[in-house]
Amino acid sequence: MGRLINSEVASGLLVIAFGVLGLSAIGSLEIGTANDMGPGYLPRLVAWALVLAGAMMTGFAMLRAHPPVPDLHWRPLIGISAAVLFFGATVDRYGMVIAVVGMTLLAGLASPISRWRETPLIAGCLAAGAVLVFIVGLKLAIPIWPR
Amino acid sequence: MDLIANIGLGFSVAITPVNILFCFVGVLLGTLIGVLPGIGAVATMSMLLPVTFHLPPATSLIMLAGIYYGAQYGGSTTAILVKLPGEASSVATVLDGYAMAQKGRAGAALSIAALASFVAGTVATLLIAVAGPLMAQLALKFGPAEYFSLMVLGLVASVILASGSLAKAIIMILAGAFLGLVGPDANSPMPRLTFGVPALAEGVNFVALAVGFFGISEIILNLEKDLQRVAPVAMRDLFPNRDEMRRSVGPTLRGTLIGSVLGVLPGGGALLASFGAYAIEKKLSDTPERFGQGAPEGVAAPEAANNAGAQTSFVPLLTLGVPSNAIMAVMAGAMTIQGIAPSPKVMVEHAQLFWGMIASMWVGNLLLVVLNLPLVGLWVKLLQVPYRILYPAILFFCCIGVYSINNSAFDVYLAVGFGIVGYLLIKLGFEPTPLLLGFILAPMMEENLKRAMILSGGSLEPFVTRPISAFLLLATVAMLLLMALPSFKRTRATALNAD
Repeated sequence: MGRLINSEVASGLLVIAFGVLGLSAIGSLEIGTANDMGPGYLPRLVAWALVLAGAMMTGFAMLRAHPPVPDLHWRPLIGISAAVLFFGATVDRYGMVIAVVGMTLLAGLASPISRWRETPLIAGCLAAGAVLVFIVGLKLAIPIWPR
Repeated sequence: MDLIANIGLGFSVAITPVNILFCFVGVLLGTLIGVLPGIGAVATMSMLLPVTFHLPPATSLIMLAGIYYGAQYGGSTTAILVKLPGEASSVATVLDGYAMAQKGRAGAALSIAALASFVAGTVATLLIAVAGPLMAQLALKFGPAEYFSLMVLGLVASVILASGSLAKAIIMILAGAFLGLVGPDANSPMPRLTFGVPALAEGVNFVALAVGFFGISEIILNLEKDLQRVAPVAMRDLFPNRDEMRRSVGPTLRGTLIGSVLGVLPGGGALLASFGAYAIEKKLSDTPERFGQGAPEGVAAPEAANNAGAQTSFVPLLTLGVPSNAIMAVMAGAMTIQGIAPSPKVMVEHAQLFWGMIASMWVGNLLLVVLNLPLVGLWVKLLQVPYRILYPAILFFCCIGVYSINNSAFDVYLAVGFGIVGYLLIKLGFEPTPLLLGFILAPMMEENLKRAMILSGGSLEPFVTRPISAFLLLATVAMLLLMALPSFKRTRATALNAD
């Protein structure tokens, strides 16, 4: 198993997954004909091309040795995703300050290069700057504090 | 003379105080992100799209364009001083620029880069002014079949230029194309491919896509790498000596020419131009062994070429309405936000915008030379800002940029999703640039294909019988054949991995 799934096989499988996801999004959209294409004509073509390309990639990759699947670094992946999700989830209800401070703190957890004494300081500066530039300056319709 | 009148009109737009100010803001921001690692022009321009909504059309495009060529400039500064190409197009400059810096000629290398860029910018501006209207004339002969063939050519060209595997580049185009087809459908009121999500009815948000793939995933990747900096080289004199000047003249002019031509080609732009120019100078030189050891020719040629290419890559967008690379895709997005559909009519219906933007590029290049040589010290200081302070700020700009487009939390979640997928794909050796081009071109291609097929009653014949379309497709086939040649494969591999 470990030997079989190299980086190219993984790439191919991922691409097949994209194609299948695409096909499921298409569902039963009308294909139409070449001189009167329906909304499903080109998407279906593209999705099947993805499935085919992924299958070919997987097939060829199994025949030859390739580098192993690269290690994923979970800490930055989860930390940064969580930071952005937090911003999206809070900004319209709890306001800019909470969204930015929370985002910065979560982002700080994403990497060992961050220093726990600096992060709150960065959070404060970013929040103040964000309010000044984007709400006072550019007048974006975002609340400063929770509403 | 139309040309002089047009350029006059351009300058009357470009040198209004507001436009000079935003041109300045653009080139300054561009230089800044060019200097800073881990954030590129595509991500920055996408994040700023919501801000440009509040500006007049010409002003917003002038600023965005400034970011693009400013970034080229900042990228070469770091390439020379710390061996770190801020942008992909300055990779070629690293070779001789850093070597010059190590010999104590850092200031001279920076000046040569700046002057070569400026000369190239001036010539390219003139070329666009001359070639633009001719291209627009040609565009009048373009029907749906021609447009479709042109876009096929552009996509194939972008595949060749993508670094890494060709198969993966093609897959990225397909994936981008699929995402581009989500949402509105020209012939029916029902949104498609949305999984029933109402927020997708207008299509996948371009900013969320670009920021996810180029901003968020980039931060994740940078955090897992150890971002080690090379200490900047000390600078002595800023001015090149007579010998260095003499050696730079020819390469600058040839680089400008090569850059201008390669920039116009679909899929082209600054990256190809800089490598092409470097390789040609090395071939032409009597002393090719000096290249890589600090030859001023090796700085002047790629710098002239990438700047000229950056500028002429606006030509297909402004005259045909077809963006030829990811940066131009963002510019097309900015035009659409302003209610201007990119098309051949832009030059006639928005003459002020067209000529104003062209003139502003010259103004911007002048600003870059005048401002940046004295500011080099500041940029070097900025380079020393540690990444642990930088990345939360960059992440914040990602967030606010995506959110403020539609004040939509969904777009932010979408950006996270693209960030994660982008991270996986980049780890597996997929390059995200072709995805963006596929995303932008797919809806246009579908529309033109549909129209062409309706006109021909379902026959593919017009694509090969109409001369311009046939020529474009022939060029595409030629490129595909070229790709299959083993010798080309080798050259491509060395050119794209020249470090």
